[in-house]
Amino acid sequence: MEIQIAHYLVVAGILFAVGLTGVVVRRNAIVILMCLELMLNAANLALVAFSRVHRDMQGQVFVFFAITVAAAEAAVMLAIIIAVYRQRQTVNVDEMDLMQG
Amino acid sequence: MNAMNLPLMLPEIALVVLGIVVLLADLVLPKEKRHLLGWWVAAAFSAIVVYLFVRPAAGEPEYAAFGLYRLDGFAIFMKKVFGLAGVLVAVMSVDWVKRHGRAAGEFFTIVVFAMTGMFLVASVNDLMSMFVSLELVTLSFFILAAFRVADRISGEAGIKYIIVGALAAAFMLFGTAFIYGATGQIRFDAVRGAIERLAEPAYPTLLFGAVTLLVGLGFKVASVPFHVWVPDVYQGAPTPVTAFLSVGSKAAGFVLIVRMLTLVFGEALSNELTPLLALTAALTLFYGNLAAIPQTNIKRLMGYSSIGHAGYLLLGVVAIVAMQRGGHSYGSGVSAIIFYLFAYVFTNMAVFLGIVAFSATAGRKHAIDDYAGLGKRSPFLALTLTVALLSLAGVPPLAGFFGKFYLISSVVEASAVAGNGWLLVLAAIGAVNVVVSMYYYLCVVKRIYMREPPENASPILLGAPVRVALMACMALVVIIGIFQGPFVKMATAVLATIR
Amino acid sequence: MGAEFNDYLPVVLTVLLAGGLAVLLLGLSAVVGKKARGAPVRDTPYECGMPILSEAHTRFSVKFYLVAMLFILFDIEVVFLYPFAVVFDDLPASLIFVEMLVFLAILFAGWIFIVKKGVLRWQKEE
Repeated sequence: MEIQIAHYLVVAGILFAVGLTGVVVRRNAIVILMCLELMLNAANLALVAFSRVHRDMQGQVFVFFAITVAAAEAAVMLAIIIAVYRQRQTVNVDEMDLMQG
Repeated sequence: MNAMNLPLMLPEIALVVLGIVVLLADLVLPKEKRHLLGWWVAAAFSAIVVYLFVRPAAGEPEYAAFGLYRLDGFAIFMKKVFGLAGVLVAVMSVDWVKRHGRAAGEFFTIVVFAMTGMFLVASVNDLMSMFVSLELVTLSFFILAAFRVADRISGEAGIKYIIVGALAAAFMLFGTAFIYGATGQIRFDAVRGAIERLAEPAYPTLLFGAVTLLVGLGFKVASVPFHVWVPDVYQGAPTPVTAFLSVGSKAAGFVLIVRMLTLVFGEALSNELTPLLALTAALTLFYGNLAAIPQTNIKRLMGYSSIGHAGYLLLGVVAIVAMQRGGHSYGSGVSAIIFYLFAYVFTNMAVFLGIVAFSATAGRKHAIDDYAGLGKRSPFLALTLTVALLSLAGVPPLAGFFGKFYLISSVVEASAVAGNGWLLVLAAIGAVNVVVSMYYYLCVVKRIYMREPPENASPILLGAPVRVALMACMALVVIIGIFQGPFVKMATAVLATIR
Repeated sequence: MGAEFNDYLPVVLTVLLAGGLAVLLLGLSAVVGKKARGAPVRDTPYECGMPILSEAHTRFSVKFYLVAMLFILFDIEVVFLYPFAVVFDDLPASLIFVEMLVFLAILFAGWIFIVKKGVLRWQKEE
């Protein structure tokens, strides 16, 4: 069997959907962060697959930058989560309800 | 297009250098002097804005960094607006940083980097630099929103913002990937060319990519149904940051939406995007304005008001998309957005300058009831706040009124041009919402003037820089309103450089 | 489409077999095996051997996260160094070299900042 672009896109779509479901369903901020990374990597997979189809390197260069941005995002998010954990001893987003209205 | 052309990027280079200098200066300056870095930043931002004013105006778009960077009238205009807003933010931050004091150097470094991102956003010319620049802005704002880690509300705002913001980034990247997949190009002009000769089977891929990308941008500009983060972040973030955010995130998002629609998609997706965006605009308008009514916290109120204003700006976007069908000129939509953004930025800045100045003396009080009797405690502050709020509400002859007027009339024009009667309904919804929004802005004004101040209330004292900044904003709001002629001309001139 | 999915049959079979075997073994041990009650020794990870000193789930110092985050940030920048050398071989070497130096200088400024702030100092000085 030959692996085609459609297969990559299906995998990317599934990864993206799994990540999105996780972000919506899970309550632990760290797990949400992992799901977000999953979504970004789904997009990266799609980019690389398309890059292969078009025989064009731009897509892969794009992925380099996307990975860097994702790493920066993960670092910032972890830092904020740790800061909040020190305050409240919890990383459950459901308990973050100081502001209402 | 195939040259590095570094001198074109002088403002951005200067900003990066400034950021690093501020970062390192934080290490050598004694602790009690670090908040003064804010004045350095304000001065540097002013110098950059002055440079942008005196540099020879761009006739044709110029390109740098091998076509990744595009400098045209629109980019220069937005950079001036961002730069001026940055000066105001720096001015109101100095005092705040001094009071809440740790990590002054970091705070201003991140402000500078956010500004660098905004400058780059104004100039992006391909999908990759679009993603990276917008993320530079958003990442900086994540940190700024959570900056007072000791404050539980600020941390909570930070977490909520970063989850939604990163979600938006994932959507943007996914959409971008599919646009690249449909066209095989990432530079805006090349994508445009590829779309024009796109084969039929690739069309759904392109549409999927475009819609997903617009969802991502919808998060940034706070449009319904991607608005959930706005009220909490506006309330929880430090007030100068909220002010910066209301300008940075929203204006940067709309700049990119306009860029994508005019430079990339063109006529191609008009049929599908028009109803989608029109529905979004209507929902955003209603939600923002209705949910603002019961608010008791002024920063939260401004959050909902910001959603409402995203709705008005989306009216202009709908007009652009609708008029693109059949290759009509879509100029009025773009120039209305430009005019509105210009007016909105400075009006909003005036309100937040007022809030910062008020809470500096009155303690950290952000309930609308705390503003009771402000007219007696500080007539000048009360006057500027009132003018700004009335302009946001759209009371003639202030800037906000004409902004809304041009946006709504661009939708009416689009309805005539595109022969789409539904757009008239949308324009009517816009007009109804102006009336709704007047109610909650006027409630604040009523408290300022009609209520007695609390027993032990002291007069509100304003520092000279804040006073000057408030005066400048108020003058701008009134002048844009009364003499809109030159400003409309300016918006039209900017528009001419976009295509 | 049908033919394509037939190709996945081996994969499906493998998953079923692997999953089925796991369920079967666990189920059998639950049904057939005796429950060990009231024997705390049997609940320990190593029935014979080292006595357990502490829980495996100890809290890591926050310092660890800080250093790990900084490692991610500085590590990921290397991703640009290699393509830089390979992709841009058609441009004037001096321009590329200077650009990379600028990139590294910006990173270096960040490094100076974290060192001076004492983030990398593992223990507080007395």
